[in-house]
Amino acid sequence: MTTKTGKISYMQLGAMLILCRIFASAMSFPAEAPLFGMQRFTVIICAKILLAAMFIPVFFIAKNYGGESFLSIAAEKSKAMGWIFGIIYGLTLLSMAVISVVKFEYYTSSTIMNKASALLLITLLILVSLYGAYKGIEAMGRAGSIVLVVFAGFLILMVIALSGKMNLVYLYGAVIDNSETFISEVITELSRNSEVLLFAVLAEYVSEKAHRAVYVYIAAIGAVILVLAFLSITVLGPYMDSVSFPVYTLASMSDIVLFHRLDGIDVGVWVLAAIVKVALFAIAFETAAYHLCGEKAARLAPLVFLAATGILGWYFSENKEIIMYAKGFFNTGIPLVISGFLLPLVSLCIAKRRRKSEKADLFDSIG
Amino acid sequence: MKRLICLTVLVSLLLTGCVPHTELNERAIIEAVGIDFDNGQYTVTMQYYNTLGSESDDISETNVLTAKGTGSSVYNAIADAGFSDGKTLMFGVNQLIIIGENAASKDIKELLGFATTYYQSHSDVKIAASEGTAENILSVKFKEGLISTQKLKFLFSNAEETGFSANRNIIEVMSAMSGSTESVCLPLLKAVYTNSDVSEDGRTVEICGGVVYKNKVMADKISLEAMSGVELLSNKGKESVISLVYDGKEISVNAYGIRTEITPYIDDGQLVFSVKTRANGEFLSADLNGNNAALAEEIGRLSSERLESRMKRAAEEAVLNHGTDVLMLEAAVRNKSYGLWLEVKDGWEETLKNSRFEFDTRVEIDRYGIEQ
Repeated sequence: MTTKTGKISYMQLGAMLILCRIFASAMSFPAEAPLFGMQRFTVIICAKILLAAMFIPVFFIAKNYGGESFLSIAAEKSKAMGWIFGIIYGLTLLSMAVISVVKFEYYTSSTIMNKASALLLITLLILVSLYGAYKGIEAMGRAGSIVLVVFAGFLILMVIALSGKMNLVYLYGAVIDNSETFISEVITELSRNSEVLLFAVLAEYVSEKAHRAVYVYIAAIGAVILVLAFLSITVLGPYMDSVSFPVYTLASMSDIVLFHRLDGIDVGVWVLAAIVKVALFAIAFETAAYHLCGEKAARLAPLVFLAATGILGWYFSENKEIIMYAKGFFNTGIPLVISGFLLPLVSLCIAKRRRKSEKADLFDSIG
Repeated sequence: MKRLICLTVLVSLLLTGCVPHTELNERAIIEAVGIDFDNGQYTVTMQYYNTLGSESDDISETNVLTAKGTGSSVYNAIADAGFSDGKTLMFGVNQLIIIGENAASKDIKELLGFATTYYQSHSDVKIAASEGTAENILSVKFKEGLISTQKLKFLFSNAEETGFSANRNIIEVMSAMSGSTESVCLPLLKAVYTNSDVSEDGRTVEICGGVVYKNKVMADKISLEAMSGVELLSNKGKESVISLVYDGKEISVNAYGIRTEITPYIDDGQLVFSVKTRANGEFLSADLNGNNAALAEEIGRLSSERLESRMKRAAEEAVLNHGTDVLMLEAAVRNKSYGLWLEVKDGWEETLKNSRFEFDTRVEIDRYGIEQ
């Protein structure tokens, strides 16, 4: 059951998830940016395989129990279970939203909006996201698709502009060239996919075949991130290790007729992506609140969620050392595995049992 | 609600003039930066766009102005220049950074730090070294073009197109500095008197060779011929004009479509770089009659020797003398054979010093001009 009647297609959901993930690739805290080396490609491929595995429970819930989410299944089984799941999920969602907001503030204030105050940047983002959240999933689906088209155009322009600057000598034949950091790089790459949390709840808004959004998302995101890694490695070379925002640096190098440098477009794309991502977090929270507290409380949920995100985001942007420490924990992927894999897995088992008993009851009644 | 949103947007559009801002004439739009070091102090000289220059009817009005500052670091010197000049500095369209001779002995990463960390900096800004002070180079104010630096940019691109000097932008410099030997080769500029009306005082700037960096500081200067060789060995030079003597006559050949491939291998414990260069050639001299195959082959052979001589000088002056890796040989070894790289990476600098270059160069003359 959904809070709103709005429905989107699986392509729209896929587009929004892709945008959210690319946003995470463009933003990074210091020392968190990907490293130079051929194992970057291996890391991406391994992380995508693990990501596909992590999507299994939510994928099957979407495929076999259309219109339901792991939260609605848990809440139906027992109110207490629903609340426990909901609180864990809500807190993870809030943490991810706060990290996204702080990253956004750090990125924009480090690049084009160099002297803008953190409070102003965060307030504007929160206000626009709140407006988006109240407009609903359909409006965000349309906005997300448009922003993704803008990103695709930007990526194509960037590839064309940088084609003359690629130096293939930076490529070499190694699959894993630093085994000490390989596992941690894969886990960090995996932990950047908070979209599994969004899909877990937002799939219930998809009119039909919601599970197909997972195919679209994993295939597209794998390809885009591999292209970005290829560009970073062949254009920046080992200097990639010293760059805070590789995509921004690549954009600023893209000397193309009329545009001259694409970093302004780059920032524009990420501002739009940030709005979509934060608004989606709010809609996911609203949906969770609906299953646990009902329609009235759900109406206030985006406001409460975004107010908390804004206040915490502002506080942590002024105290970045705390969020860096917290990010270290999130980079282990544990919160994501709990909320995006284990809880949905439990719900999936409950749903299977429920269906089994329903079938048995049906046979009994026929018998 | 919709009315309120429309009203807010309208009011915010009308109030843009109330937001604190910097007018164009209060801003110094930096075009070129020169860094010098003397008596423990850095001096930064900046050429910036004269906003009155292009619109003034007075043709004597210069198109660039100069700001200068000193300080214990490049950052302090830049801040001092902004303070003395009273303008807000803007580096968004800076095209060139010149490192003076004394400043070249300082860590290049620190010298260029202001450009890599500053968000507005253009990643395509060119880097060069100068004979004497960078201030001397920037004191040459060219009259041609909208801004003086445009002429210097043309000088660089022309030198690259004709195969004399490799251009280096800041990303390439920083990338080269990320290698094991932290080496790079920059074009070397010098100001000369020509008595022409190209600049305000009759001087011009030319590329007179190169500067080799190792471990982030200048190791040596190299000749213009070696600089041209660096361009060829880096596979950057696609075209090069060759002058040679044939049958007692000075003739010129344009080698084009130059492709160089470096293959490393180990021979008797020594690292060997096998350099294979192929190019097409066209006669530039009109008085060479006859397009027969024998003549073409002989000119091709002589052209190959000239190209090879440049590359040999580059290998000697820029690599073997100091164990510097300005040709990105580390990347070339890794690219060709990662196993070989693992074998030679320890003591890479010594390995480079003791390495050997083998050349196989061939220029095939296939164009004879339009005159028979």
